[in-house]
Amino acid sequence: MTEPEVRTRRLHPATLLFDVGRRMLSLAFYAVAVLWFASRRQEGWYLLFLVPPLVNALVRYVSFRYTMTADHLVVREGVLVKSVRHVPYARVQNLDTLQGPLHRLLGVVEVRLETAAGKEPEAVFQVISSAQLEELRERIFGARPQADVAAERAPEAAFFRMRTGDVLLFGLLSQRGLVYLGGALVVLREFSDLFAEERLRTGLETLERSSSTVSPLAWVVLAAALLVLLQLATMSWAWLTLHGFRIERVGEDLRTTCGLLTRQSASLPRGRIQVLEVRAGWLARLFGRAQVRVATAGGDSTGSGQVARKWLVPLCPRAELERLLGEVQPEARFADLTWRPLPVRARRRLLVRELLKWLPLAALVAWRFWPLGLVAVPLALALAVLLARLRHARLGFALAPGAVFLREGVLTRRVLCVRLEKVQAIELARSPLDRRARMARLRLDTAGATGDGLRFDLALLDLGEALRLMRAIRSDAARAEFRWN
Amino acid sequence: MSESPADVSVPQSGSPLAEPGAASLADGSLQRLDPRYVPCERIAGWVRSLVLLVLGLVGLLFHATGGEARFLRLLLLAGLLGAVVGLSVLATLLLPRLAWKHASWRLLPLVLELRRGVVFRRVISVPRARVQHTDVERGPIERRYDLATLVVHTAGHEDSEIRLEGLEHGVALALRDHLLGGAGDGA
Repeated sequence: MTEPEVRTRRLHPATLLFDVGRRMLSLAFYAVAVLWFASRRQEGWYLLFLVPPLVNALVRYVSFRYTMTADHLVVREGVLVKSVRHVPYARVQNLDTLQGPLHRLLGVVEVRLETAAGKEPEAVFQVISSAQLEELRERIFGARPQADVAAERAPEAAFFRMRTGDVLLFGLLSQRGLVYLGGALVVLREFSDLFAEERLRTGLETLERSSSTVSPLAWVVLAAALLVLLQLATMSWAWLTLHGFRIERVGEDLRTTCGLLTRQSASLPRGRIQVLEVRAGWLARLFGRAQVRVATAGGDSTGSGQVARKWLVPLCPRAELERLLGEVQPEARFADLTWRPLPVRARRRLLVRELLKWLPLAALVAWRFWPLGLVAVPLALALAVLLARLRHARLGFALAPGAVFLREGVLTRRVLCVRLEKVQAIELARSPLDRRARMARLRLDTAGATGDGLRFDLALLDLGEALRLMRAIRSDAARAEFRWN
Repeated sequence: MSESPADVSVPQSGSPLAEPGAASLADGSLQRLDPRYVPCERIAGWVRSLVLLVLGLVGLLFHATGGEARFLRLLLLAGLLGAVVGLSVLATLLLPRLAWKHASWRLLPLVLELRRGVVFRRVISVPRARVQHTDVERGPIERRYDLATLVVHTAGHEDSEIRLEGLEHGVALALRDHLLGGAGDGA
């Protein structure tokens, strides 16, 4: 310990404001209930229920302390259960920041410190001042080797900036509005039952009665207007969260920043990407756009609700894709891949799957609208044949030096890339059907979140080809040392 | 590519059952599980069947004594219990032998390879450089037959814990030492 300056810091006093504010927000129902009871019973003592959150915030503020030593950070918190957490600077992966309008007004920022372990951030600094953040950055990243420090000081220019048009398009494509609408309808129903206000009920009834007299054209116009309104809402949501989305490369880290009012920033070490997916739904393809998702080891890649974490690149023109992927993952080139198709006999099994999907539906339609509905049966047959052919034409894999690729999907097309040094286990499975047709299914296991389809899983391979692929992957994977980042 | 596609299934006869020992462990030949795996699994199966039977009978007894028990329903439930226990007994008689027949492992220079599964046959390969740590587990029945289960942990997600059952205890220990030792040193 040659370096003497061990500094201990508290949180910024504004923490109290934000902590109470957030608690109130998350306990909004609780607070409303308390206020309602207090006003109804005309008894003030119900307000006492509001005291615990206040005390809690105060206690948390007073007890939280962090110390920066020469090579690690010590975070102390808690009164009854005290916790002292030591985090070596070298283990810190991310310093994610979040700065809302109020934060900016007060010159403070919320910081989450993440290591490769676990899903939860290692430490959350509810709010600290910008100067404290700079100091923290300096300490944590200043302790890294010299080359890294140089890179840290001089972030390269952003290699990707999302255009405003793409941000709005992302809102249009994400269909979030429909989810919200569904939620709103459910809430409305619940509340109309709960409060059973006579006026509301009669209002609904008159609406129902008048609905039969209103012309169908009016209904169509109303529905269209609602849809447009919804799309506008999702587009403004996208604009708020993704405005100014950019990715910079700082040394080996990818740093993402976005947000109009609340600015989020998150960083992801390039090496921590386990699986990378390029995806384009049919609407995105119509506009010549694509999206990029990644599964990472450690940290929370999807759950935190941060868009910047779920999508590495929410939306970008296809023309920019190659350059972008080169920055994100230079080890695996997406260009000039030689795709190997599935065997022709896979088509029959794909057809069976499609038939199992569409024929029951057609049968239902035929039964319900007898005899006119019978038309659905040949339609379903044709659809199944078409889809099976298209699927077969699209399915395939490619083996490149250091990485293996999978592509699939008819309407939503995706290409999955797994770097071989990230492969943990290789599984070749054969069902009875596979054995009869001399086929096999190949699955690769990697660290990190493999939910959401971010997993290499290819069925209906020719057995010989599957075995060759298995051997190629495992011998390459075995030669590369696995590193967490 | 010295191996032909046919090697995906375990050789049915004349497969070498190598002596345990570090020298023969890594020779890359397919090793069957210890033959005692079959009686060991059978005992486990009998225990399972017995537990099912006893629990079922107790349940039936409660049902019969508890008020308006109708004969027909009782008969139906008894039949159901009989079917379940019968299936369990059938599995006990047939499965261990089949599972043993289709299970094997081998240690290639850089990869540990396991094969198993009666209906769904799987070949699982774990690069030795990916082995994070290993456990050797022994249940009461396994101890009686001097068997052990080797559990290989990787940093993966779904296959993060890969179990190799039916190894002789000595072999399991040797395999563990081999995996933890000079992992990935060519040959």
